[in-house]
Amino acid sequence: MVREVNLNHITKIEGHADLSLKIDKNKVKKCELRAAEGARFFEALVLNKKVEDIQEIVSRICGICSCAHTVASIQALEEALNVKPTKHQLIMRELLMIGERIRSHITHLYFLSLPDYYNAASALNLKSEHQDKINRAISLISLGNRVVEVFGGREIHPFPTIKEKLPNEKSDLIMKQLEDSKPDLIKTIELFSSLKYPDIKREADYLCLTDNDYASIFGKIKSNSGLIDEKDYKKHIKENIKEYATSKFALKDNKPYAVGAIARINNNYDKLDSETKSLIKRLKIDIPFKNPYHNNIAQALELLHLTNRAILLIKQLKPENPKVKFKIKQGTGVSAVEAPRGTLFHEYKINSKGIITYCNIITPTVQNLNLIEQDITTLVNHCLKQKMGNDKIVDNVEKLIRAYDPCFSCSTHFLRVKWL
Amino acid sequence: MKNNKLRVGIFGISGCAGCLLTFLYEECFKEIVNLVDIKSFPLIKEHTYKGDFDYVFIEGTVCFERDIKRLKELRKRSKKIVALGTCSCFGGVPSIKNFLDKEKTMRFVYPTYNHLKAENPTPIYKHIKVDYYLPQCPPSKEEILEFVKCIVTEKEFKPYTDPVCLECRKNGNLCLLNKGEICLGPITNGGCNSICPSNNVECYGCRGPCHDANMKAFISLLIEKGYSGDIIKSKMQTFAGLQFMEKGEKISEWLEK
Repeated sequence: MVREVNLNHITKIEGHADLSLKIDKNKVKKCELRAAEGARFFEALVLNKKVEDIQEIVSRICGICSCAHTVASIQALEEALNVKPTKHQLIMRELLMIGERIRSHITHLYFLSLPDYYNAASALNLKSEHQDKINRAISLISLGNRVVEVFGGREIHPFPTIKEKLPNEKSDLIMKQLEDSKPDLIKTIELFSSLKYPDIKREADYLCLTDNDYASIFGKIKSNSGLIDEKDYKKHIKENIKEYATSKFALKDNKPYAVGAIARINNNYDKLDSETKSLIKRLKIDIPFKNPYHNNIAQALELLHLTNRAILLIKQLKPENPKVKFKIKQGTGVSAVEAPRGTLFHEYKINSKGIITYCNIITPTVQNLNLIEQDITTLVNHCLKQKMGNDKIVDNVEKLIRAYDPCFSCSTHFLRVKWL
Repeated sequence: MKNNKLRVGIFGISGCAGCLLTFLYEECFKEIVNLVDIKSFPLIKEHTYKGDFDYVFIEGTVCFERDIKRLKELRKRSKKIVALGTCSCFGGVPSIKNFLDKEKTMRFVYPTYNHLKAENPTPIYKHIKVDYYLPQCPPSKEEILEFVKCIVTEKEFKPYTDPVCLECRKNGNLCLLNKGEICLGPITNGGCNSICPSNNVECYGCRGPCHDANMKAFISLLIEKGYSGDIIKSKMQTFAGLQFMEKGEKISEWLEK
């Protein structure tokens, strides 16, 4: 018997997507995850624009990870122009990214994911006994916003750090707020590591940046293929088009792979600070993660590490007024950064007049899509073997898609389910 | 219990979700949840509500067929439609595509593109009747909250109509035009508290052209300063290009001189 499962307009993810499954003789024959966002053609919108105008445009790719697009575009353009950022600028950028990581992960964990585990339609519908969790989420989101605002000028679509300005006394206040947020971050780890996740295990290739630290804004690309120089990303990572979706899909050396918090924790575990490591021990969290649902735990974990890192970074900030003077010249530049959802690539070519002639952007979700489809197939086959009911299968699939924290705005919510 | 509250929906079409997130961030969200009944908000809520709305906020630009279908459905179900953010009000950054060779643009990003069912990127008023506009990229939390308070108390919401320059001067900023930037402050609607110039970034016109903007004088000034027509146009086309180009019908003529 052939049956189809169509999940139209998956909610509680960023952007719009549908899922279509075809099942024959109790096996998944077809799994198509369709981004249902209109294509916005960003890489072509920057062509013929001036180098100074690029950041304003590409930050609009995504309201959730606008800081990552900002930093990646600035760094790629700097490389093309042979501009060396100062240490101060690098610290500011990393702080911007940490602020963004906090609010993005917390939004995902508490507002998009948590309702799944309490059988609620949304965070708004959680029973009053969970109100403390929502208050905690709002105060952590607010903290992330403050960090971005102090170091980027505003919460969403921060200002270009090419025209750097000084942080002010506010950074002392932010440091205190970060310090004070740690009990909440620890509670977040305790909460998300105690949830009952569907039990699936599988091997996967995890890709992220690595460096002497838990890398955020530069480093080598680490995966099963060993270390790759960011400049060589295109030799390994290829985007392809599937006619059923408006997003692209990416493969590394022709295979699906995962990016994001789960990849960063798996690949960079030894770079985590001692507080985060001891918490992992205390809570008996198994690393490396093999269950894709555990991306939730990975997100919670890295926030504690990054908050400690932010406190250290703020202490290193020295007032300086970097007037970046750059000479327009022809060149090519690539930058890879760790956006909340995974490694983000920006590449530009500039001509001798400072005009963009080429742009390529590969977003995290595009890189996860092939593996999400593969994991859904594995999961549904597993559920079918256990003779699980349709509703339960759909429930598990939705949770899985959400655990990946996909962002369909970058790549391009209750489900209406049709069982045939 | 919630019966007297306005029934509100918060939706996005093709966009970056930045406007939707603005709703979600912090205390503003707590207040809004208390003031109105959020019936639908697919970003954070299951999509089970099938009834009508009093107010629907829409983020994003019409970029493909399905966006138009979504808009028409929402228009039917809501008494009032609020365009939220620059994309929804004016087309936003995606509308740059209108000023480029469309085939070339699509081919550069997608070797095959018919399956995308792409439409010319347009603001929502080109497809449905819009009752209120809350522009800016990203929109201001304060303005959203003020708007919600107005609709709840049935007070008239008055959009800001003075140019960015006015607020910018009040904030004591040095004029970026004089510093050698193409700042669109003189011809752009304010209400943003000149957030960009205050951060040393020129205005890109995200709140759209001022009603009484003297486009001709502004363009003459820029040409006098030595900027080329292409560079001036390119700047105006970043966020609200469709409106700036309409407003300055003779823009090409002025630029050629």
